Order: sequence, then structure tokens, then C-alpha cells
Amino acid sequence: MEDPSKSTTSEAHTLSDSVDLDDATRSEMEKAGVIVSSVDWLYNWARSGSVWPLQFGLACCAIEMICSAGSRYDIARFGSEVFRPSPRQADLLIVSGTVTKKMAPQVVRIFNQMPEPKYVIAMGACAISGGPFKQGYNVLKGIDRYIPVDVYIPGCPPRPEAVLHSLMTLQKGIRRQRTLGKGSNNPAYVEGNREYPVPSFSGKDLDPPYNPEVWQPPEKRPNMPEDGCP
Amino acid sequence: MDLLGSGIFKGMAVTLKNFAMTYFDRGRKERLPTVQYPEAGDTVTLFTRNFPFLIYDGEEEVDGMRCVACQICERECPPACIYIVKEKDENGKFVKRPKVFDIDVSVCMGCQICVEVCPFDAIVMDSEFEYSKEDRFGDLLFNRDELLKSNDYYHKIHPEEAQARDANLAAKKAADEAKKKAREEKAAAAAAAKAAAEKEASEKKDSPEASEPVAEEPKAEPAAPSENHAKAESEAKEKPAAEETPVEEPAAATDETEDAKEESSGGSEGKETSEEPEETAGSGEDDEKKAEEGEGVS
Amino acid sequence: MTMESSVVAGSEPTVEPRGFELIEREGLETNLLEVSMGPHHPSTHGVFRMDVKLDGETVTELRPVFGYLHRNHEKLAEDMGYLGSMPFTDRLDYFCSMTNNWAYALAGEKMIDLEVPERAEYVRVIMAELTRLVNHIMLVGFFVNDLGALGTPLLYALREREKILDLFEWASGARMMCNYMRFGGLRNDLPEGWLTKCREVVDAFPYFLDEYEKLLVENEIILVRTQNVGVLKPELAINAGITGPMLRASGVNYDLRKVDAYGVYDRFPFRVPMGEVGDCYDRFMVRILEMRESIKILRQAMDELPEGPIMGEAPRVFKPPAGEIYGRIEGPKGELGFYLVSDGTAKPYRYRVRPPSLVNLTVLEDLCLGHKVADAVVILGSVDIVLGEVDR
Ligand code: SF4
Ligand code: SF4
Ligand code: SF4
Repeated sequence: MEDPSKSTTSEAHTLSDSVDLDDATRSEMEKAGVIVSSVDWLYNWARSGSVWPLQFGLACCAIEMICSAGSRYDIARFGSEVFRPSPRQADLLIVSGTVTKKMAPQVVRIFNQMPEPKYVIAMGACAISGGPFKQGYNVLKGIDRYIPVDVYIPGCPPRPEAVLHSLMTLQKGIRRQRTLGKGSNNPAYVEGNREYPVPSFSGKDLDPPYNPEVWQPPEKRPNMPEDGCP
Repeated sequence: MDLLGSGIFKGMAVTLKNFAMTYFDRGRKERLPTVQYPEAGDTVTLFTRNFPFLIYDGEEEVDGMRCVACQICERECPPACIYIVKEKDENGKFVKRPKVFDIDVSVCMGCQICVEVCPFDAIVMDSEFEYSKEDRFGDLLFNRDELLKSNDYYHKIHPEEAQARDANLAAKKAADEAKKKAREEKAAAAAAAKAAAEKEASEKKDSPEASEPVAEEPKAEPAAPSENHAKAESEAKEKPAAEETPVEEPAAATDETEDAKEESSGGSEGKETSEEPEETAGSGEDDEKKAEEGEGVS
Repeated sequence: MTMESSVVAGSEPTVEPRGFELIEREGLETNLLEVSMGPHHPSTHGVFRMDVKLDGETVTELRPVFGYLHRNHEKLAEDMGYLGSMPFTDRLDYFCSMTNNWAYALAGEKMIDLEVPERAEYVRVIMAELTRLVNHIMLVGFFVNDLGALGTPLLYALREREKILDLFEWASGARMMCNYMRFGGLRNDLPEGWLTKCREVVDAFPYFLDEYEKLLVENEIILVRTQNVGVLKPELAINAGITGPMLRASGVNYDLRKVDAYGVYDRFPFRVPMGEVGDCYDRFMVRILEMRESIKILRQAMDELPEGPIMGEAPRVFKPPAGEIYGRIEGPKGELGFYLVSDGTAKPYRYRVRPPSLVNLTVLEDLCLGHKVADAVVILGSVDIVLGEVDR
């Protein structure tokens, strides 16, 4: 685990620069930052050790997700064995499988219903980009168009160990977050409860095609079609 | 069922027994004890496949690359997640090497079809799976340099398969060498005979023949690997024939239009053969079309 | 049951507004309550939605809503070469990629009259029966999970599944999406030592089944919840085109392994287990019995496995003549068929899958009417659906 106080102070500089404080306040804040970050550390340690996923499966990848909860891979070793059936009790949404255009509004709605702090793992090629079915007319080309995704697991399907690996990646990310105090970079505390507009399915396509708040078409590459969709 | 509830207790006894036995036969394989990933290894076997990578021989990553940028895999990949741009040298000629070779692993479905269709054993499957990333476009698009891995690494992860492939390649190489020798002899003979008047005739006969293997390549059918190898072998045998005339050489790896250009520029060898290139180019294009049809099959 | 969660996670109102209706009963005034179960619901198998109308707790109307996992499999296949669809068939019914491969390969082989070498046929039988074990064991696990036995039976099932998946991974390279069969044979031969390991797994399986049966089949709660629930009459089953274990649980003797005797199935003596009543319990037991028969087939196939090539004389370019073909096999869920129309080019003109789970699902309303809403979940579990196949 990296030293939290170190990273905090270095980042606090840039932050206080932007707020335009005098040196005395800054040093005070740094001091405060150190204190806050150690509370942070405890808080994050506890949070990252008990990420409760939502019991939510979409397609083939869901089976591997269930497998990772089975006794051979045992996700309980990472404190995440409690698959909650209700989004109100879950911290982590594992989008495990193909998100079709008919299903996308429901996924966004489920994300909206989850309480902060909430995290999203896009599991499998389909959830990241549409995967093998990305040329189809009914498959959403990546759930990150509507909700912010924290960790991506490529694979079709990813092995259960890859799910565990993604969980570790997520835990590392959580431990990097600064939660309390002014220098918080945790969207849950900065932005409040994140709710994104639910796209509407008109029978043909989703409206809007993506949520500009969380996703922008990537830089165009020579082999990409005009609309910028990979 | 004698007593109501006895069935439930029987079931409970089973779970209790299972629970108790975990303390006594901990290591028994049938119990499939928990794999202590990541501390104590994982369940990846020597046959696991996940994503493809490119092999290089020897020490030099780029120079030892087996891929010749024939783009068969790009066309065959079902979700179309491979993107290849051929490399050109300073004269604008294509060299047998990809400049850009991208695989979007966020799309790849690990189906192994690219491996089956590759006639040069240049792309194989990796068993690495720890690719969880926080950035989709930056981290999950593997470019050529990330994809290149050494043959030793391949031997480490898939020893049996790698040995089979190496043996196959060696056989191919031996056949190549034999052909080369034969070709050298033939070339010497041809040089002697060059002065003779039948030069054009021999050229005429050579060129269409030579363009054949080029057209053959894209047809590579992802059938049984053994068959594939056999075909690749035969191709390798044919290729030296293509290289016989210097004019034809780039054709082996580049596409047909370029091929035609090369020919017309190289056609200066003999003024009297100036109508030749047209003919070969035409036939080449025909073959290309045929190949285009054929390639959809696989 | 956790109804609330389904309601909050419900979907957009697509049907005409159907509000509360008042029903007059002697003395008691009740409402018809409409509940949308799914598409995200802890006990529906995948993203499947049931619009149920309840009178109290009794189901009076049930409308299944499909399409939440429609992945354009058929349309994509029509735009792809024949072999390119092979990995996509894995993803139809993701528990049974081997049998899906086989059904598709069989259809392709029929198109060009391809002979499959004997060894390949035997290996296919072995793989298909292993797949049947995986599918049925997982079905039973999920089924009792729906009944409320959270955890233990499902975890036992997952453990056994892992052993078989290890075999698949060893032979084909992937745990779930095997992509192992080709037109005319198999992609690669069985690795050395595979058979020994397979024998070990198969030999250990009956012990596990005994234990599992002891755990489940006498359990009073399971008996009460499943017996006489969701009775499917044989006439209805035949009329609706039900196939597979569900049909046999209703007492109709129809198994494509016997009827078509595709592959080398005519060389294996095995019995076809059948139910008498056609309720959920029968459907559950038929699967357990089928696993025992599968083990018999597996043992014999492994003993008789001949040496030889694994790939027939497949043409380099798979371009079938114009025409149409229907190839079918007995998948673990029922008759899985591929209907291919060729116009003589390298791509199919029409590609259609006959998914057993979709057809089996058509009788869901008939099974559920008059039962409690909690039983609807059990009935759905006993039908054995996989949404990848239902919606394609
Ligand atoms: S990524 Fe592959 S395994 Fe996962 S849902 Fe998509 S098709 Fe299925
Ligand atoms: S088929 Fe093989 S040689 Fe040709 S471009 Fe692909 S990897 Fe390279
Ligand atoms: S494994 Fe399949 S999907 Fe992945 S690059 Fe190769 S052909 Fe394409």
C-alpha cells in the first residue's frame, strides 16, 4: 500500500494553489491534510475491505461472476461475498454481460438507485464495448456511455480470477481516494449523489446516444467510422 | 419418509459431514480447495487461451517478428478487432512487417480464429488475464509493441503447442532452404541461358505462376491446424518461385495494386516485355477478387 | 420474496395502462395487483421479465416480456462466413457451448455431406454428455436456490461444475466459450492424459450425485414446494412443441439421441428417464436421473474411444451448394436446431436457431395460472431457461 500522507500533501499543493491561499493557511491545510488523510486511511481501509456487489447478472459473464463467488475462487476473501439483491444496499455494480439497448435504461436506473459511494465494474467485452456483438443493431457499445465506470475487465468471459483482480484494482483505487476534508477527490462527497439521466429506448435507438457528462467520443483514429464510434 | 422433517435432517447431516470433513481431508483434490489467488498462484493451465499476442524470434523484437502483415487475421476476426497498417520503407515500398498492429482487447472474444488462419504461425494465444484497467481507451488497446512477446515466453506458457509450432516452422524452413538451393542452381542456369532468345518465353511462363501463391494466401482456411500447416508449407515451397524474378518479390507480402505498380516499374528490365506486366496485373486482380470471395467463407 | 426490489428496478411502461380493478368477493374486497418481475430480479434467470397480475397472491395472468438480451446473433451470422459463427454459437446457451457447437457443426456437415471421423464423433459424445452434466447440475443448483436454499446446494453444484470446466479448458483452452468443434471434426485432439483425468471426474460424479440426492430429494420443503406445482399435461406439451427433459417429465418418450441417433448415439445403450405427473418435482428428478444415464454413456464412450484422425475431409473453402438444411441435436435443454439457407455463397442467406428454452418457455403462463406468485419463480426455474438462447 502506498503512503497516503505523501500523496495527499503533494496533491494538496495543487489544490490549494487553485483556491489561492496564503502560505500560512496552506501549511495549516497541509497539516490538516495529514491528519485528515490518516483518518482517511482508516476509513478507506474499511470501505475497500467490504465492497458489496449488487446481485445483478446480464449474460454469460454473470455466470463467471457467480463462479468467483463459489468456493473455489471465493470472493469472500476480499470481503465482497455479500451479493445484495437490492441496489439500495449495494456499493458495487458489476455490469456483467451484454447491455442491449432495451436493457440500458434499466442499468442506468439501477445505478441511480444505488447510494453513494458507488462503484462500477464493467465486466467482459460486451459491457466495455459491445464486444463480439458490437456490430449488432441492438447492442449498446459500452456501458460507459451512460454511467462512469471505474474498472474494466477485458475478456470474454473473464476468468473468475480476473474478477478478483479487478476487485483488487478497485480496492486500490478506493484506497487512493481522499474522502474527508476539503481536498476530497471522492465524487461521492464532491458531487453528492450521482444520478444520471436515464436514456429512453424508442424502439430503434437510445436517446441520447451517450451522456456527454461521463463520456465523450474518443479521439478519431484513421480506421474509425465518421460518427466516432469505435 | 417416516417422520415429518426427517428429510431435512438428512440433508443437514450431509452438509454437516461436508463441513466437518473439511478439517480432516483438507488437501483432497475432489474437494477443490480454494485457490489462494493472488498469493498462491491461479488456475491457469498450459492450455488456457485468453488474448492473442505476436511472436518474435531471437532477441530483436521488431526484426524477429514473424508477422508479415498479410492481414488475413484482420479480415477473419469475427468481431473485427484487429487493425493492421503495413510498414513502408523510405522508397514507399511495402516491407513484410506491420507498422501498426492493434488489437482491441476490449472487443476481442478470445476465439482463436486469428491463430487458426495465420499461415505464418505469427499470432498465438496468451494465457495472461490480469488486465483490469481503469482507462478503457488508453490501456485496453494493445499496440504492436505491447503485443510482441518472445518465443521463449510462448514456450513457457504453452510448451506443447509451441513445440509443435516450432517443428512445423523448422520443416517449413528446411523446405525453404532446399528450394533456395534449387533456385540458385536454376538461377545460374538461367543466367547462362539469358542471352538466348527464349528469355521472354521463360518470363512469360514465370510471371503468372509466380503471382499464384500471392492470391492463394488470403484463402487460408481456418480448418484443422494440421491442414493449415500443410498448406502454409506448400505455400512456403511455392514462394521461392515467386522470388525467382526480382520483379515479383514484394508481391509475396504486399497487395495486388502495389504488385502491379512494382511490376510496371520493374518491367524496364526488357523493353520487349512491356505488355507483360499488364497481363500479370490483370490476373492478379482476378485472383484477388476470387480470394475476396473465398475469404468470407472461413 | 423480494418483490420490492423488482418493482423499483422495473422498466418503462410499455403496455397500455392497466390499473387496479376491483373484484367483488363475498365480504372481502380485493384488488388485482400488477407486478412487473424483472428484468432485474434476483430470482429470474437472467434479464427476463414477467408481468404478473395477482389476485391476492394468486397468479391470474402472466405475460412474459423478452428481448432484454437480444444480441442479433442471427443477423450477425448472416453477415459472416460459416466458420465465423462458430464462436458465436458458444454464447447462445452459455452453459452448453459444446452442444451448441455440435448442433451447428452438424447442420454444416449435413449441407455438404461431410463425413466425420469416428474418433471425433466419440469425443463429441463425451463433450456433449459432460455438458449435460454441467447444465443439469447447475440447473438443480439454481432451482433450489430459487426455492430459498441460498448457498449450499448451489455451491456444491458450482464445485462439480468447476471440475468439468477444467476438463473443457484443458481440451479447448477456454472454460466456457470452448469453440471446439469444426465442420468435419474437432479443432484439436484431446491432450495427453485428458482421458485419465476425465475418467477420474466421471467416476467421482456418482458419489456426488448420491450425496446431492440425500441432500435434496427427501427434503420436505422441496417436496411441498414442487410436487403438483406447475403440472404440464403431455397433450399440451406436445402441442406446444416442448422438448427435452421438460417433455420427458410429462411422460412423453422423445429423446433425439434415440429418435435421430445422430453421431454415434446408436451404439450406446441408455435409458430415457421419464416423469409421470409433469410437475416441477418430476422435471427436477428427470434431470438428476438423466445425469446418471449420462455417466453411463460417458463411461462407455471413454472405453470405446478409437484412435484415428479428428478431422474429416473438410474443404478448404466452406461454400455449400444452394439449399436449406435443418440440423438438430438433443441439447441439455431440448431440441437445439440450426436452420441454414444457403444461396451458394460463402455466407448463409438465412441463419436461424431453434432455441429449446424459448419454445419451452411458451407454456409458462399455463403452468403458473392459479399458483402463488412464489411458485411462479419455482416454475420458471424448473423450465430451465438461459436468456442468451431465448432472446439470441
Ligand atoms: S463478454 Fe463474452 S462472455 Fe461476457 S457477456 Fe459478452 S459475449 Fe458473453
Ligand atoms: S495472419 Fe499472421 S502474418 Fe498475417 S497479418 Fe495476421 S498475424 Fe501477421
Ligand atoms: S481471438 Fe478472435 S476476436 Fe480475438 S483477435 Fe483473434 S480472431 Fe479476433
